[in-house]
Amino acid sequence: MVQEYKLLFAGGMGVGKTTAIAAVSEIEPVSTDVANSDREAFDKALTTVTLDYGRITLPSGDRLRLYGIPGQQRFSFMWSMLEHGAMGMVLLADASRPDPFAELEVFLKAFSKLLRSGRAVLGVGRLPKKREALDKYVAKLARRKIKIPVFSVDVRQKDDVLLLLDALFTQIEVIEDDYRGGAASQKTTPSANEPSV
Amino acid sequence: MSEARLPIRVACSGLGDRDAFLVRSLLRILDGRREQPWVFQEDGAADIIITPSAHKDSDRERLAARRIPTSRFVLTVPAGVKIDLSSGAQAVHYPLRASELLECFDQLESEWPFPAAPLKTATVVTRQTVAPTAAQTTRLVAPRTTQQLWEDPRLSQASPTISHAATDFRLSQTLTDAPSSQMSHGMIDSRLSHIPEGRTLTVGVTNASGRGVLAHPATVGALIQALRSLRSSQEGERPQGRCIDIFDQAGWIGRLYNGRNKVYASRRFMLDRSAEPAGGRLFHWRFTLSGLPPLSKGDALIEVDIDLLAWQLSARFCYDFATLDLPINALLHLRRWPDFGVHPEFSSRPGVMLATALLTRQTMSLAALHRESEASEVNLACLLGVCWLSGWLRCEREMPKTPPSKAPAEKTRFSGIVRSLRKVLGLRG
Repeated sequence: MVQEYKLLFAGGMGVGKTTAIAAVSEIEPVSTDVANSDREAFDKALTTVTLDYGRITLPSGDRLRLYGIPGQQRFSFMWSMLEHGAMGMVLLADASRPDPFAELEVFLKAFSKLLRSGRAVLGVGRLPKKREALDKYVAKLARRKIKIPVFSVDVRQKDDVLLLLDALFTQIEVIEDDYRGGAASQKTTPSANEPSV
Repeated sequence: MSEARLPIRVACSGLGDRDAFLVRSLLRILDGRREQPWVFQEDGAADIIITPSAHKDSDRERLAARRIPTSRFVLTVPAGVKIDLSSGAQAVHYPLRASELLECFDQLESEWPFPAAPLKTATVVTRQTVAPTAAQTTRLVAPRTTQQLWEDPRLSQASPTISHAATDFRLSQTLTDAPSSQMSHGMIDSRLSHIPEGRTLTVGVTNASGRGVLAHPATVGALIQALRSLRSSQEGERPQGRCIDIFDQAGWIGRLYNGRNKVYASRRFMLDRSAEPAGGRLFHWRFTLSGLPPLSKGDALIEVDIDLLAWQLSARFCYDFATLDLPINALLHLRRWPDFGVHPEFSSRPGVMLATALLTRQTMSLAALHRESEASEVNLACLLGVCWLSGWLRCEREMPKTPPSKAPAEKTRFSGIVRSLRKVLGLRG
């Protein structure tokens, strides 16, 4: 029987959810972009008003559905439905926004259960050069008792999106105490074969 | 009644950060090692003011190229003070030499009137009088004055605190390249000799807490640990040190600016991977108080975060990193994830990513971590070392009698698909 899973990509308007989904989806993301009528909030010609949708089909036939959660808060009624049963979340933030933490706060509240479970990862884009900038995001999560990977990323780079997913998957494996049956144990003599960093 | 000598107070006005730092550093070297105490005065009354020379930087470069000596800055006194200039006084020339400045101090001290006038007689002059006039730039050194430089009482009141901060950065140890004749109990003894001209001085420096010591780290591991020691034990607090120039024999040119937690490094060298020597030993760091050597063409300096530098160093030169001294029974825990976004070399190794996830979710021993993550020892040492440097690694030396229980595992629901997803996406596994 074919199983369906879902993975969420969330973040404020313009953080790159559509781009991130496009990087890993096997299909062209089904976006519902329309002309942005909220140009005061974000100067972007098109924006997603309902959902982005992507998909990854596994060899077994199981499918992972990738949902990009709209940034506008007026669609927040959908968030709890999407969170239910999700395997994890890739939360994205844009440090160049006027108040990125306020935008982030909305998602931290809305998806607190999923985030506190640890099955999530935060990618922060457009960080200023100062490295301490990322620390602020970590501190903000810590105040909400959320301990998830926080990376500086550029979601236009596929490798960065994969990094987020890799960290998320690792988190899931550790949380479910199933990492021994995973990648690590597939090596015959792991320590000897593993290349040095 | 014994006659306590008041310190000779030196202030800088209008100097660049680097020059002001040099002055402060030298004064700290002199601290307690001369007959007459010398102190750097951030604000308030000063006896000697060091001001920029009349030469512009562009002039200096041009004249220096023609081997015409130019002055970089001069020692003056506040305006309105009647002084007799010492005939032996000199300007400090460009390029900057610590020894030359010390000679000026020497000259001053030899002619200094003892004892100094009491501070309470200070009068107030305005800040504007500090600015050198053309005549003043030719007046080099002078006896002490009791005039107060700034009239703002808040600055005067704040000066003790500021002065304290300025003295936080101090020499703590000198090592091999200082002749033993100049050493006294492991410290440069400035009463015996000045820093030889053109010679780099290997020193240790401490931060505000006095914990950190940069002591001639000859290996990357030592460097990492030395850098870490500059950090405060409190997360988020930045070291209080000022600035110190770094370069090494292999061509690294950099400036460690502790207060901003940055290293300025030569981009050219950073990109020159062919410079990697056998055995992982490369960085023979020297900490000099005598200024950066001239940069060659293409040596654009880049700002490197200490953490980031540690990442990079540990990634490429991790052989010595195992010097991180972790007790075998130590319990480890990561306060947070490192930013793998800036260092993909780490994240691309399965054991490292898994070890990070494990350590952020539970406390475990090094042996258990090694066993569970199946990361190689080298990679694990790199990860732990960098996290240690960054202050994210908690290490408890004693193994508790009852090992902490792991958080109960959730019923497995997604790990099966995760393995398949890794294959489809080409991730490790």
